[in-house]
Amino acid sequence: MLNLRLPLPRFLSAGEVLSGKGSLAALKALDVARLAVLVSPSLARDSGQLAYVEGSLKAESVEVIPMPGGEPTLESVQPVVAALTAFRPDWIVAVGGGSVLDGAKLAWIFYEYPDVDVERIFRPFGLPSLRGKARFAAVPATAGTGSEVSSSTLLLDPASGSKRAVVSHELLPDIAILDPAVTVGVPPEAVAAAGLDGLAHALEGYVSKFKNPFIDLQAEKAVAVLLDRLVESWRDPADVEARLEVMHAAMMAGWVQNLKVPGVGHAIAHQLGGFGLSHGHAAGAMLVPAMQFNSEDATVQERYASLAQRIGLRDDLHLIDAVMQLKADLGLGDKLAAHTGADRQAILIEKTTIAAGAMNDVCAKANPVSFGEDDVAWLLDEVL
Amino acid sequence: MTVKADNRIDALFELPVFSAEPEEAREAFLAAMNEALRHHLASCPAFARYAGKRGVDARTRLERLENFPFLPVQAFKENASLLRSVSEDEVRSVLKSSATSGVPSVVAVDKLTAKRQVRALAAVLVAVFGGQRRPFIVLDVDPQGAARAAMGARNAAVRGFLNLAREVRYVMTMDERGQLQLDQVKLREALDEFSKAGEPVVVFGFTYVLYAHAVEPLLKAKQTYELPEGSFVAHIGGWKKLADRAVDAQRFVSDVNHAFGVVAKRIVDFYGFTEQMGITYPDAPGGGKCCPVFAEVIVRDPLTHEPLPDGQEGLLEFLTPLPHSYPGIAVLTDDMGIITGRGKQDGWTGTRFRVTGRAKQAEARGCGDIMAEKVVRPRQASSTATVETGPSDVRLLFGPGKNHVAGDLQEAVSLETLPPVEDMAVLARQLREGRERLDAYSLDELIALIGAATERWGAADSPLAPLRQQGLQYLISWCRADALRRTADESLRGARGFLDGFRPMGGTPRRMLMARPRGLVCHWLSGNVPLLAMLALAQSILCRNANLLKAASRFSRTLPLLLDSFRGLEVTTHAGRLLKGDDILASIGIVYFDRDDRAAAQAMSTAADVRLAWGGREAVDSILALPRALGSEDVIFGPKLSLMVVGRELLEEGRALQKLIRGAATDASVFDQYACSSPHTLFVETGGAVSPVVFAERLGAEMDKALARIPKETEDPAALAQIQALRLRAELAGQVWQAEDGAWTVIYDESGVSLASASYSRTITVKPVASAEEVLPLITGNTQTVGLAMQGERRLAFARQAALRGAERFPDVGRMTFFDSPWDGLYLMERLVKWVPLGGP
Repeated sequence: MLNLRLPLPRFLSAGEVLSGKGSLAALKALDVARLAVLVSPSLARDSGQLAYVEGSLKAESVEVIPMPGGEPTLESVQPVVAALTAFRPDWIVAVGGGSVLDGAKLAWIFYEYPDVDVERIFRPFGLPSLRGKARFAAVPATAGTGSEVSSSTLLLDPASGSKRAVVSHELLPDIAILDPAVTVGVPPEAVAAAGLDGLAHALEGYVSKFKNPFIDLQAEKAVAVLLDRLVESWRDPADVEARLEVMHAAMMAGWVQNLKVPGVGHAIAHQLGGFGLSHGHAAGAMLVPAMQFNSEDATVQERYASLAQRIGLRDDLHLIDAVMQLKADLGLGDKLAAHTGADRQAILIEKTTIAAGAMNDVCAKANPVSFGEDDVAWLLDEVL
Repeated sequence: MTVKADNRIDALFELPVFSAEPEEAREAFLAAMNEALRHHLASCPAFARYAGKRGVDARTRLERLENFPFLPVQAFKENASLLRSVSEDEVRSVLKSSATSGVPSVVAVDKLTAKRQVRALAAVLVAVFGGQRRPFIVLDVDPQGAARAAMGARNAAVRGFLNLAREVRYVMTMDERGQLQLDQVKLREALDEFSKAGEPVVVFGFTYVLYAHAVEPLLKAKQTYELPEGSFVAHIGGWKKLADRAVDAQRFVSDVNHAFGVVAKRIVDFYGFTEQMGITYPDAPGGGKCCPVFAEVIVRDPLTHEPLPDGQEGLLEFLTPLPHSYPGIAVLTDDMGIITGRGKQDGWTGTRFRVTGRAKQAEARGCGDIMAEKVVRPRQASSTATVETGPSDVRLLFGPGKNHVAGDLQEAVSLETLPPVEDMAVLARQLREGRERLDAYSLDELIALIGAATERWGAADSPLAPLRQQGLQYLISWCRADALRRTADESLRGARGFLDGFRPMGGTPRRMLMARPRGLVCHWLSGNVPLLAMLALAQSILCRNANLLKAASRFSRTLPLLLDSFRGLEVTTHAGRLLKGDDILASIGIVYFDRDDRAAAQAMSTAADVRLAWGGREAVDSILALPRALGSEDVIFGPKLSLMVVGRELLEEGRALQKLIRGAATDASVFDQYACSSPHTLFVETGGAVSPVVFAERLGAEMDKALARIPKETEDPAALAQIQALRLRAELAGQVWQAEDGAWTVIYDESGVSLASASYSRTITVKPVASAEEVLPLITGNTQTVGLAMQGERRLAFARQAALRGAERFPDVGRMTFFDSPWDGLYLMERLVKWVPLGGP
């Protein structure tokens, strides 16, 4: 991988991507001695799914380590780090949703660097080289977070309620496996939230300040597929074809997120983790207001209009309508609190803090137009 | 007496050699010296330029001997072609010294000089032995044989002495390897014959050869002679090798007297040196060496080169007007001595002096060794040698877990206060047992502990603070967790995890590999850079080895102090594990024993699973020659030489060039140039926008600035004296930029493409080359680091060629002394483990 700091259009992904039903069994070919399998709590409890995962792996020694529930924090991954340290794996396979994959990446860092200064890892590209001890495979159980092809991991800072990102291309997994069979037991609301997160990656990233024409093509395809197939995938877990298509689209949206970076909607969503909101729900809720806010800029509006036409819609307004329709089809309204149980009052009280956090968020730098505290207040009002 | 004005030099031969009237002799000598000076100023441009810089030119008439521009003796080692006062076709012979100090001195001799040499020597010998020709028994080989070529200046010296011989018996032979062997039969035949004949003889030879090959064996065999009354034993050639064997002049005379029955006053030591061949200084009857009428001695302060009053010890300078073909009329030797008397004593009138020893050369320290020491073939290591069981005194400086030399870094340590190590094997077993504690730690946890210790090393109140400018900061950055992990990854097949267990190799799980500790690593430390040892020790700890270190000196508090930082150190990892620094200390011991304590050295060597040695040739050779355990590994760092090469493509005006020159100054300043990776010669290509001489001048300015960045350690007087001599010598061939106090020296030398001798102490020689390729022949297996400033295909091609010739690393200029992996061509950690496969093949 080139060590570039220039914002040149480039394509980076997991070292190898495999997809298809049963593709998890490809991991039998790993050159591994000790294999740690980090799984979501739900998967750990689902003996059938767990058996499927374990049956797809082969190593001299395999240890399944359950991940903590919820968004990962420094504290919550500590038992996982301890388990990894005791087991000394040379491969780590993470199976689960975005939080599981992100938490597994964090545990991987601390396994490789048991004494690393925590503040240092939050510095952009401050993470030292990984893989001196173990390599990493990501098997997403939800389609949308893009963590399987991202150079970052997000963790929740319980003190501030906001998310902090560790960003380094070292975090790109060596292998990503898109196996729809892994997603079977995932609850529908998680499918919807993740899908909307993926859609937000594609739509917000499409108008990012960072130019990357090749990735724009991926974004267009991702938006088209998600608008078209997410509902089917959500509705019927057995529709393997729809699930797989959505997984592909979500991965493409993951590339957009990783290489173009979403904007203000995500910047705000990152601040809402402490208010009882999952990242997918927050990002999905903020998507439409963010598109509307940015479309006040003529260039952005043209970009969205152009995207709309490329996927068979008339213009940018129809694109926004399509997103709103998708949310409605998924049973999600315009307002946050209505369906997520978010603490509306608390969000209103903390608006200023949320605005400050959003303005400092890594996604703020990518947003095509600059925004201030009042803009964040307006955007929040739109969803509260 | 009046002498002819046009030949005042030869007129000196008309004066009595050791009994001329002092005033008359002084005047005659001064006049002759001025005449010789004028000749050399007119005939030798390099000497004229050198003298000119000291305010002496053809119009000058000097009234005081100390004002004659003197050349350091080293000037004849490297600038022979410049030091010539006659045309090439007038040179009859070339004298080469025996090169005991590495590079031989070379002097060109013409007919007139040769004639004067013979006259001068004959005059002295007649004065000592009397005019009668005598039989000589010579402790050397017959120069008529095949050995002649190998004898060099020794032949000339011996031949000179034999001019007065009636008959000569050579009693030594040379074997096929060029080693001298005494022919016992011949010696005894000659001694028997002359003893019986009752004719006084002269037994003549080099001091060491005479003693070691004749006197000692005769005494051992209880075979002594009574040479006829009036016989002499005459010897030349210096005392160093005998001093090494603790034979002083008194014992020498006593033993010679015992062996040959010659009285002490007839055992005569003649002092002299190649650069003023023919002038010899015999023992005077009243003691001390005596100057003949055609020579004089001055004692100079080794640092300032100012003349010293009689009775004070300093460097000996000898003056003689006799050399005609080269300007060696005033030569500052590296011998130390004192003037013991002047005026008439026991009938002799010349200035009398005593040689007290040789000025300590800037020690060829550690891996920054001098080339000469490298030509010695290492002795074969032996795994079957008999184990020495003699008396041994091993003291424990550190361990296990305790610092026995805690205290002020600068304070001396009393050996007697240190606990003795009664049995090295017991200590080794203790350390091996302590090592097992490391097995409970992952490699990264050990890294975390060392990383935490570096925080203590760098703390503001650390007792190590005095070492900050001696590489402590560098050590800290090198031992930081990230750096150690990178080193471990690079050293261990790309993944440090091999040290924590079996991992697949070759992309398939069928075959796995693990790295395991070798066991006990024994380190022999060198004294040149006190912190260097930690670089290897840290890597050995990471490989979970036990470590036994032999300190270079019993004053070595540095390493124990570094290790003290592990005591009580605790680190809690992100996995919640508590790591304890004391667990590391349980497997480390530091001992000291004398370098001659062979029993201790053998005990340590045989206990080692890895023998790791830093140091000069002699030290390394002696370690390699020790018996060792079967299957043990040797890792040798040094002795090596390093240099720098700058291509013309980088000699464009601008910031990049300034940065390059600053980097070169850094490389020549770090560790005061004592590291094996420190450059001593900097080759700069001609043809760039900035010429090599301008590069050298700017380098001088940057060396000055480097003093602020990298403060200099106080240098010992011997090293400073050597630098002074080097500067003087350098002026003959080129230009010199220097700090007034000797802190740094940049020499610009156009005398040809060769390596400048390593002088250390921030002394760098810049040499112009038409093309960098000219440097390639100088690169050998003894070359360690080449700081390379070139670009493009030329850079790749040069580095490849130089690597094939033996150079081991090509860092950027400015980073030559950064210890990295591989070092000396090897990844250290890779050598401190054993690789264990599982499965397959």
